[in-house]
Amino acid sequence: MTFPAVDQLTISRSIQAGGFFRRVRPLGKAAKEWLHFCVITPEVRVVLNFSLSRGVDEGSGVARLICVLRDETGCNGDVVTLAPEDVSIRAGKLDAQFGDSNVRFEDGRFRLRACIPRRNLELDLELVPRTLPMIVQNIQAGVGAALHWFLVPRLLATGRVVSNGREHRVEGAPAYHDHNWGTFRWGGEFSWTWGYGLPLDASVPWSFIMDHFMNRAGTRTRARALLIWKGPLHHRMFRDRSLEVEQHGLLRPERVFRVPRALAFGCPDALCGVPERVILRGASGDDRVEVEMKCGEVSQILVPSEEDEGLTLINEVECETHLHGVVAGERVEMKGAGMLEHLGHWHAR
Amino acid sequence: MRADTVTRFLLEAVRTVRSEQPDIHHALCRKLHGRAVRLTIGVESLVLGVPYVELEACELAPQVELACTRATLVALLDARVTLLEALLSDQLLLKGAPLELVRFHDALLLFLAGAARSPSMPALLSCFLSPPAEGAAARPRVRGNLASIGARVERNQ
Repeated sequence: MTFPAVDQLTISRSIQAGGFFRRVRPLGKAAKEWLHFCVITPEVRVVLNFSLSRGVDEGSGVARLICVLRDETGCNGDVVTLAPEDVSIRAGKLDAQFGDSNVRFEDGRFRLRACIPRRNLELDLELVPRTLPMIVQNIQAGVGAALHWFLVPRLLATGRVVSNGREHRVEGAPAYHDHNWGTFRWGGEFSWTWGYGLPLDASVPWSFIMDHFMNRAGTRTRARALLIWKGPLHHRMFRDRSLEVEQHGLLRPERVFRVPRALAFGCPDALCGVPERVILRGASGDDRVEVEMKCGEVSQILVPSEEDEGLTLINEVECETHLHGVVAGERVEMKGAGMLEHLGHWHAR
Repeated sequence: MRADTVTRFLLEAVRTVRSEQPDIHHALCRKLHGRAVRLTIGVESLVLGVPYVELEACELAPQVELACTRATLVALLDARVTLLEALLSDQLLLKGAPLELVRFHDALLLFLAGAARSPSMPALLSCFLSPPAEGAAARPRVRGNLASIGARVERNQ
């Protein structure tokens, strides 16, 4: 693909400068930080997350490796809670060891290794960033709580994924990465729907990210944005009044794959609250774009709420995406794949 | 930590919730006060109830009886089967007056809420689902502690 002149070294330095582990330790506040990766191939979809969480009390933190994978044989994955002595993080660097799994950024690429022997799951991937990163600071996530979002919307993944003895080769597959940190509590007065769309054809320059931050009930919008990249550069943003977000229908999957599996025990299977389609319409000046995200398979990451005895349901939804319109007099057209993350809550009563 | 039998696993899980999530344990005890449930898992049988102020193995007459095989319990914990599917396919037997079953279900959800928030529970569950080989060194309990991770960070900087 031929894109504007931003070389790999510039992209690499930008990620090193902004994507490092923060390990925020504010007094009297719960703190969280994670590195999130998604890879999309025709055969396999992978969500991998290296997560650190610290409660209000000293010594109440925990490190987790979360992996959810779907191939033609079905879903696999788990949440692995790590013993502190098995976790090593170089603060200020992008380098972490979580037991036998690790993530590091070196030679201008992310190197990921994840290993969950109990689930016969192993992956070795290299992700080369193809866009400059972006950082969004101080997203309101409850009262006095903030979330920060460092994102790299488009990468190319190469390597292998092994699930239940079946090996998938990954060659130049579209991938997504973000890094979040903040002081919020799960189950707090917030919810979100965010997602991304990537072209399956590497020669197509367009990619996008959308976000819609709301109150916990999902009835009041706090912020919404549609960010469009052309090649390595952020090209256009529509937000707030220049953007409409519509959710249509309600997805009713027969079964939802959930991790950690033991938490699924007490939570009804049918709950997910994910729309069938999300439509975004951006309009500002002469620029007009529309995005359709058509939702498909759902996996859920279950997180105990820190505000009540319920669960926060993090729905990872596979999507078909279509971006089209006109920006700065240029026609924008991209059909591809993506994922939508939709936050829900469940309480027994 | 030993969780090689169902009874040991359940009693250890109760102890863990009691010590690591005392508020939820108290709510559970209020819900089940003076009541008990008989759990028959494979060849093992145990009555759990709240005769006084704690959830514990006891000799109260149970209002609810639950029976299944160890394989079914493992399948439930591994989300290969849901509680409803296990009941409808007769893999799990639940017996009691309707109001007692509702109370038991509420208590079960409370117990699960406590278990989900107990830092030691993942290691205990892992130990039960895949017990270490005979003679293998016992793995230390996972009590999340970023302070100790922090110590590693200082050395690495």
